[in-house]
Amino acid sequence: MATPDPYAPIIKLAVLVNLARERARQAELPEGRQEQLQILAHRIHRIRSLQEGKDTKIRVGVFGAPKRGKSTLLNALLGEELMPTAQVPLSTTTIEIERDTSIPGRRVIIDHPSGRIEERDCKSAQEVAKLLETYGSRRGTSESALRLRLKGDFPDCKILAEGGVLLDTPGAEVAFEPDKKLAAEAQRALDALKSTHLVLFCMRADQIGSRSDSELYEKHVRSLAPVHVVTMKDKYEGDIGNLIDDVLKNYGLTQAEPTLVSAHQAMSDETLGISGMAQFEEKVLREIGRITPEHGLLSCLRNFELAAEDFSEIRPERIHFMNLYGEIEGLNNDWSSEAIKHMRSKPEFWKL
Amino acid sequence: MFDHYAQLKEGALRHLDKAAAFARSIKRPTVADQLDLGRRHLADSRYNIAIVGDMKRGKSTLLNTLLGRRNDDLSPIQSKVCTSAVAHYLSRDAHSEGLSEGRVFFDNNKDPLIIPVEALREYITEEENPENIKGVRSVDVYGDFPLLRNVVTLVDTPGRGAVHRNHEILLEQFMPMADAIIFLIAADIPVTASEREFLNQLGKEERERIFFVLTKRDEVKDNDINEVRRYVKKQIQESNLSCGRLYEVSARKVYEAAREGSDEATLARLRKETGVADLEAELERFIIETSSKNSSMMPRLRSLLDYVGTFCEHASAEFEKDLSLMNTDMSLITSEIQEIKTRAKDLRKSCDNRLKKFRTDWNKAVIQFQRKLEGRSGAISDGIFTRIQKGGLIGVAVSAFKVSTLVKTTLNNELRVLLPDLDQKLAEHCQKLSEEIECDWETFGRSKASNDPFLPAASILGLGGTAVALLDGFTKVQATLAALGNIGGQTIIAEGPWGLWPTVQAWFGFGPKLLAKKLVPDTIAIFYGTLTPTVVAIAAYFAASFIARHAIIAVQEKRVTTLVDDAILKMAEMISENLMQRGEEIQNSYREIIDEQIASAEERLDELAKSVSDCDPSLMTRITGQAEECRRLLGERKDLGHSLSLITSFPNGNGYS
Amino acid sequence: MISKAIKFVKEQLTAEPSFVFVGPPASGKTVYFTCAMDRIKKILSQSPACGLSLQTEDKKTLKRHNSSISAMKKGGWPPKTMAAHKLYYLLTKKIRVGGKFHLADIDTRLIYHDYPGEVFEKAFGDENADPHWEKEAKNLKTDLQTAHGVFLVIDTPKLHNGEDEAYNLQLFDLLKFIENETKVKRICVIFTKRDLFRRDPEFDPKQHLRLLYDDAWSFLERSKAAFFFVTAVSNPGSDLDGNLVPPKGFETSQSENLIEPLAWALKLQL
Repeated sequence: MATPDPYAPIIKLAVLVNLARERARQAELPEGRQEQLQILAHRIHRIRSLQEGKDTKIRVGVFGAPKRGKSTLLNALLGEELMPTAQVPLSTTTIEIERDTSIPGRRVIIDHPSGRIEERDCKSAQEVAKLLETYGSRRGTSESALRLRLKGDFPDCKILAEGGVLLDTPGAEVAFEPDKKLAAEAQRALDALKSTHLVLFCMRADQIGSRSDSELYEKHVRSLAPVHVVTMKDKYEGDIGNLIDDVLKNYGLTQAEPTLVSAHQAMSDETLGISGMAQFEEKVLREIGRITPEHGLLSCLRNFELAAEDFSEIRPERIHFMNLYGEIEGLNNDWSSEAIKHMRSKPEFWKL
Repeated sequence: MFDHYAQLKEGALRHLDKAAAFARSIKRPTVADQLDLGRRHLADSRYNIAIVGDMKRGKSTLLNTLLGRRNDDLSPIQSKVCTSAVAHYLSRDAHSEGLSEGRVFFDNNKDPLIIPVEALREYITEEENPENIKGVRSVDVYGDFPLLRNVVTLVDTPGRGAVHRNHEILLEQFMPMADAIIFLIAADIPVTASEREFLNQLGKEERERIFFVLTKRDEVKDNDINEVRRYVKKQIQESNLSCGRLYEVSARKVYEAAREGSDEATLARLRKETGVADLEAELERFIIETSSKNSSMMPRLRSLLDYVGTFCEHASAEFEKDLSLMNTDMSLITSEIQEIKTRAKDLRKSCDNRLKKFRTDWNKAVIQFQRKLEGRSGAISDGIFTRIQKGGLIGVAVSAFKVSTLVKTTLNNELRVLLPDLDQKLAEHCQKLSEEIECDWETFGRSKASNDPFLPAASILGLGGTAVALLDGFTKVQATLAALGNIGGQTIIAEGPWGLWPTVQAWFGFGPKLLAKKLVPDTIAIFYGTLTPTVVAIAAYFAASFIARHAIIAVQEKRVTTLVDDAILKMAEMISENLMQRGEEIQNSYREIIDEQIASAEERLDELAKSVSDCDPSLMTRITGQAEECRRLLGERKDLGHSLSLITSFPNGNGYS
Repeated sequence: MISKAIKFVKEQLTAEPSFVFVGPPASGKTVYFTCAMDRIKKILSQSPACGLSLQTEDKKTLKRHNSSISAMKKGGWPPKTMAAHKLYYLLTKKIRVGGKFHLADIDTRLIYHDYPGEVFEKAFGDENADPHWEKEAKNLKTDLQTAHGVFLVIDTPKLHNGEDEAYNLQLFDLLKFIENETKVKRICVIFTKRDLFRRDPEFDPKQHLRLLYDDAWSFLERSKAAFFFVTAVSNPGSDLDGNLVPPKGFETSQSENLIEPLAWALKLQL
């Protein structure tokens, strides 16, 4: 046999989780549990989609209601003011940023609505910003591009260096009667969600409890296992500890602790330390890591335990567990041994 | 705010106090009571300014600044805690008790709970009353708010656009009563979808009363502010509103300075610099110019002042005549007394008959109206039902607001047809009564000896004149209010007179228990001397709310017509009951006045006779003193009247002088 | 010739073998025999010398058969059996006359009763199962009474997972019924989903059955049942949601032990 397929255990786990989900549904388990399984299934799906997909780049996108600081946050990650930002709602289309060391400067690729694809090489950040503003914001021509891509060497951005693709999206307003312009933008953002591996859901520190965020979250983002990001943390007027409580309470978040960050503070050296930017980057990188089978497997196993514990009736037949175990064993490497060790520590659950 | 008006109001209140004391001192208690009532209404009447906006737009900061607070105990500013109920902030007279207290009104219309102001947090914050499980409808906060000058109620509303929708329902119910609405938009997150939704939902009247205020200007860089301004204006226009002026206000600066203990002069300067003073001035100007309350408050104040004036003038005339009488022959006085006593008997009898007839005629007119309205109920309910169907309001998500608007409009249209007739009839009866009694008085007043009205007996005519003037004032007020034109129109329906809406609601069936309590004399007094149209309109409002509340279920159970029929019958009954009661009150008042007049005349003549026969100068001294007081009151009244004219006459506005 | 064949068929009607497929839901009954029939068809057509061929008798059967196969080739399962179906296959002898093959004789007419698994649960074991299936349960029992053979399909993962009281009762009842009230001559026990047990080649479902459900076992022993461990669809993949699905481009030649049970039941030499 050739090199064992690292995705094989993940595939077996997918079968397990799916069977458990189906049974959980039939047994009418509490919504929270069913949702946990759903989120887990999505995580696994994400990991597998890297295997199935043609490109192996992990897509990391910022999402949220309008004016949540998404573009500003990306600029802070990139270390340059490239994404269009303003006080009034601005972004109209998604912008993908990818590292490509073969390009000397920066290249902007514009997908025009007419179908024409244009490539423009830029020498300066201002040039890039201007182009992105022209084709990707309300300040520009009335017909914004369907998609914008930015390629170049971004040495300071760790996420891009790891092989990720960053995605800036227009604000998605789904809670109220949207005006005509926003509806198209919201649609673009929601479409982008489908192909995103890691969703960074952005909320504003001074707007916690806003229905715009909660509706978007509930309807479209929740089941995608997003990273919860609270931007503009410098604008919060109370105790920081309370801010986290607020977020947890308002969004019913039980698991993920939100990441607090201030792009504004990250811009200046004195406040960079307290801006939360470093922790944010780390978190994103960690999450990216978990999308690969190497890192994802163990955390998925743990998540499955959490979701299915106390409900023995939903666990599938022993043979499936055995097959999973067998696949992991067959890989015979560091991370598979770790997984094996973990499973052995809980033999009753894993039916060993 | 409202300095001029506040001064006028304070002056008027003092004046009325003095006048009432004077009336009591010359043994005219009914007059004194009238003045007291009027004074109380005046004291309680206030303009409403609502502060509305999405959550976290700076409402609390602005509110605290407008209240002149130095801390945010009352309206907490912190991000976490958010107002979840409508809160009315009112100041009280320095002398009244309970200077600082809170009243909590509940949805189920229990009696309001009176608590210390510090305890209000338990009822109005999301933290301590999550999702309004305590069922709070609104709270009143009485406190030391010198800037409100006792003239304005500031209404703080729950932030919109939050996850909890129940906040917004409260807003819907409250909005029609506001004289001005301050709508806050934050410069750093301008015009969200939630805000646009609010603007689109506004009714016609509310649109004309909105003040757009841009907060958090300091969060925006100078380069960007123009774009923000343009954007905001454009968004507002897209909701079919005229933006007019966008007020840029930084209430935060003022509030923080106040909190840190800056002196009044600094604060005044900051208020000017930050645009707060400008906003206040514009609000004042706007409200005085346009508030429908003015059309009831101002004339009422004017008529009260007129009343005082007439009363004092007649009292003066009486004093003069008394003084002149003291220098005449004793025998003439005695014979006068005899004649008057006889005529008094006749007068009383005649008045009684007239009053009885009046009452019968009045009641007949009212019942006729009731029958007509009941007769129309079928047509009305069909009309409403058809419009509910056509308007696609049948369905799960029917907005009570929409149905109630529909019902109000329909009822208004109906009443518009029936009402003028009733009103005219009632006014005619009042007029006739007035005239007849005046005739009787005249007869009473004329001596057999001659027809010269200026004989000593003519002084009695003076008294009769007072009675007439009083009743005349009555009908004059009626006429003014009727001339509002909007009989059954939104403004009257939506607010009770004097802005005492909760009390009105209580009167109309939400709290029959209240009738038994202290509140009753006050509530009756509200309608005492108010308009038939107002009574009718309030009943219509009640019917409309009643229908709206039960509409959804009725639609589902297919008994909309029954529901409307019931409501209309109830409404008709209510109107008729209330109007008949009013008729009775008018009758009683007349009788009281007549009795008082006669008794007072007899008493005075007796006193006079005694004083002359005893050669006792004390009476003369007393009367001279009273005449002096009277003159002073008249002088004061003239000044007040003048101030009132200044305030209420505008070159292009509605002048009430 | 043809009319003779038809006459022959009609005469043989009462003597026809009919087979009932019975087993709990999702055990793999429909998938199994669809694949098995397909395989036999292909084998026979590949060796014309034996002169036998397998075909469907009526349009309905053909349609069902084809749609199931094509669903599996596309990477999905045939739709879950929701009602009882009778499927008719014919094993025919053909002779070559001129350049063409003609139907010479009908060797066997096979009738398969495909019942939804819920019916099995209703008919045997606890009587309080879903009343929806009551009518079908009666039909099942009637069909069993006149059946020639029974294919008892057992879901091996479920067996492997451990004892199930309800299932025990159902098996017992079924076999008792077969023994006492039917004239069934051949009982064939098919353990499905063998491919899941690739990692454990030692596993013997027969022994496992004996260990877990010894009462049922004794019935089976007495009636000289045959046991087969089969794979109808090998190497199932899973789609992105984690559902087990047949591999795309699935071929029945990849199956294991697929036709042995049928061959035994029909006494075919293939």
